[in-house]
Amino acid sequence: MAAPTALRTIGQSIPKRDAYSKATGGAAYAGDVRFPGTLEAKVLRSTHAHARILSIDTAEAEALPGVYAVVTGKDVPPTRIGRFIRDRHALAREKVLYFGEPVAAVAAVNEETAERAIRLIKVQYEELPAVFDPEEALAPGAPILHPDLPSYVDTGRPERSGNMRNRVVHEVGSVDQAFAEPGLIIYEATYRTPRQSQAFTEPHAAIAQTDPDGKVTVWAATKAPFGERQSVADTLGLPLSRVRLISPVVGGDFGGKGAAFIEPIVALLSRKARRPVRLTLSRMEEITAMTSRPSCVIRLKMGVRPDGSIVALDGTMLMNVGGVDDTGGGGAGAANSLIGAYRIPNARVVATSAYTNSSPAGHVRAPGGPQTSFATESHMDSLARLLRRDPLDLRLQNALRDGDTAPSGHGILRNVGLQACIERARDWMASNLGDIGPNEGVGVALSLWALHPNPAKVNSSATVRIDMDGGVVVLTGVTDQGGGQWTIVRQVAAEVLGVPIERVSVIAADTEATPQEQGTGGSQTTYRVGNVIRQAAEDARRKLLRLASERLGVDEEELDTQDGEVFSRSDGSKRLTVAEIAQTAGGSSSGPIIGTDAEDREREIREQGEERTETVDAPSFACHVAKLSVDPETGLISVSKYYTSQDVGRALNPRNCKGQIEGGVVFGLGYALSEEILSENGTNLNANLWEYLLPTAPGIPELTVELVEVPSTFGPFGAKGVGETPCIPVAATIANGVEDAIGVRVTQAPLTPERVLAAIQARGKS
Amino acid sequence: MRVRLKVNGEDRAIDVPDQRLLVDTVRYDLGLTGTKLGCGVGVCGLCTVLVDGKMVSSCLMLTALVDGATITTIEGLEHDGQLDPVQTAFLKYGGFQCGICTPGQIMAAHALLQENPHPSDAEIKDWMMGNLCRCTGYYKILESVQRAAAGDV
Repeated sequence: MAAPTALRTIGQSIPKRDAYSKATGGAAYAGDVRFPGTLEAKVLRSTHAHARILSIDTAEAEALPGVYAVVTGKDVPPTRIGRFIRDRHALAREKVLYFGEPVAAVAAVNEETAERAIRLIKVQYEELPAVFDPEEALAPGAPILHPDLPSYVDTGRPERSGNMRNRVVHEVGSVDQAFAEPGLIIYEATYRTPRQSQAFTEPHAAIAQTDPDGKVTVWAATKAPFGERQSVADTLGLPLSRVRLISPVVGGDFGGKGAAFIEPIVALLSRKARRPVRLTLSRMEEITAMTSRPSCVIRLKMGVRPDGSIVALDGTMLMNVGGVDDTGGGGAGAANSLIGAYRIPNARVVATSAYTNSSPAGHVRAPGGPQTSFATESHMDSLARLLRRDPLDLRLQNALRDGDTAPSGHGILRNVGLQACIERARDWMASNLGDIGPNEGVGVALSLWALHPNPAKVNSSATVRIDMDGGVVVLTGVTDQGGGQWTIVRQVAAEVLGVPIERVSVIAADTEATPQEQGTGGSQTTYRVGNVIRQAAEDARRKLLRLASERLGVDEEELDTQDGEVFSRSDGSKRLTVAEIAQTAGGSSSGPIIGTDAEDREREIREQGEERTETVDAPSFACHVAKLSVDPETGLISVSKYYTSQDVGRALNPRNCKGQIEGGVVFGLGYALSEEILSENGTNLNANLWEYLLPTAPGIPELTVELVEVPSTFGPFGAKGVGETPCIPVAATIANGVEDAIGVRVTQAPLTPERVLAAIQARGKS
Repeated sequence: MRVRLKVNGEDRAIDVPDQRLLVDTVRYDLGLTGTKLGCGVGVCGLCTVLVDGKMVSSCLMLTALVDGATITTIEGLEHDGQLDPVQTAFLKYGGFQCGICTPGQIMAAHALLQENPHPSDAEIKDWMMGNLCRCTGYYKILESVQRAAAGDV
């Protein structure tokens, strides 16, 4: 790539473009979009966890004045939908598989009428035996939720049968042989983690409009408009080109806004009612019937030599994916993350996920990360205790290093910043922890989010246009749910083209107007999307320079761009503004300046070859430290200081990077201390924000974030992923601090006062 | 019933059902969608508005009960093209990410500074407890409020 001599935009904390509209109330989210004649929708949900639908009588609801449309499973084709496995219908057809599953929906003149109509729908159920515990679900004789599971369409080809959604066996080395080594110290424990709600502050919202010719447009709070378009099209029996999904400003996602649950419903209603129809879910619906992080039970065994080197790991994971699964099989990605940030030559992880009649499981920030980290990083402290070693020291001894094979087994780790993160943390601890009083303690843990998208399979693309006035328009399918994705897009384009950032605008996340995109997530957006933006901007830059070269009579190689001008490096008097070039481009033989990623993408894949596909070039590591106190009377944990050093590769926008890390740490603190969906017979009990406890301002600790920059090889300007890494190790950091403070090990998250007290009492008895 | 309100400086008279919630009046009857709805039970703070200068969760308030009141929403903080110092501080110090809680955060912070122009850090944290944010971990929100209080905008 034509690297500018000094970066001008990259590395700057550029404010977000939509900042002003967000601070003045002008930003329009999906729930704010409204058209004349818009109807309001409500969903009738299952009152059973597992039941056959015998009949649905909608006559009274349809007769209610003000009701325009009622839809049920009869309006839905047999084709199942889903983001990974297609295991559900937009409205239940024959059976309901979880409490709160959508059964019918109504569109009416206002919410009150829609609500009344919902209550007039009569559903006759035949209750079926239900199962809520994943272990029981896998036992012989358990009621089977999906009898046709083997025939379902799935993105992967996992082992699946009965209620077993999938099983992944990840194995390296010779585990049984390694555990047989004489003198090996072996430690075994079981860890339990909760179901966590994404708890994005903006509930799901969508509005659908059907054109007279039958084409449907949906504005939705989604991070994956292209994927959701498929589900809407399948539900309506339309070709993809007859459905348009647009994602406006999104009010937080955290993994939960990538699957079509409400979008096909508003689309069906809108088609039937011939009016725009919109739906916003209540918080109760969100926590009752939408997805959450699957609960997980982890049994973990590790073998360590007296010198501290870990030689063997054996673990099992069992996840509850609920009645329908939006996790992509729960265990697949998570299995190898149980190995953590360590070089362990012999490791075996068997990860199993099971369907039960609980609410659906889905992606939540760093899928699989916090669960496995809670086990592995708690275990590391227990090993350190057995060996009488400093916990950070033991971690450093076993930490992954540059050139190691990634725990996934796919690729060699490069640009590893883990040692630097640990050293920075050590320095901070030496001078900032202060005195440790009674019932006070310090916990540490490491984090890894290994990113290595295969560039040949990247489902992202971009178009960069230079307008007649020198303004730059980037077209990208990527959404911005608050992480500043559109700001990064603008920064990368501005940097490559040498134009002021203010001149760059973004048209985004519209299936009809923007290039295809797999969706924002996995801490991949800056790396993956940033690269295609860079490639498309390079293409536009080449075209710009070619035109400038003709006009100025200077070789293209002689030309450079800066501050919206193209100039000769050897003769500064030869220069043209980007606007001057763009003005005449449209009427020239080459046409207007439009760049795409295709050419550079193809060339880079060819040139980088195996080095690229066999390298994990952007692993994101972090080291976390917490200072906390535990009240032995109440079991209440107070975290006073928190520290994290994180390798971000290169901070393209330092303020955004720090903001992601701050938010990630507090997200992790919620998981560590208070967040847990409680349920009884499949009904979620705390489906509201006064009983589902999110972190609030008074409870946050003093936080220090240090950015470590070990650049990636292939990320744009050296960037790595940022967003998931900080939430992963927090629960273990806290549990380790609790043991340091009061000498008890809590093996179930969140570490509520009840659980801490129970652990104290259990120690008293033993 | 007919309700008379002074909304962001303008006199308005609207007909609403007796059970109409203030948040719905603000968002739908008045079309001021800067005020958001997040939890419906007065916990998240997205729907924060000022009623006669006092901070209120509009999802818990009936429109009928505020007949004759002065209502200020996020759209009404700007005066003569000048943003409120709290808005300026949120912009300058990046006090938001996804932005859905931002109007409520700004209204709450504005109300705090009206009542207590020089709050301590602890007072700011306590006051802002009723406004949830899932993105920022609160750090840049609290910094924005501190800066606004210090006049450092």
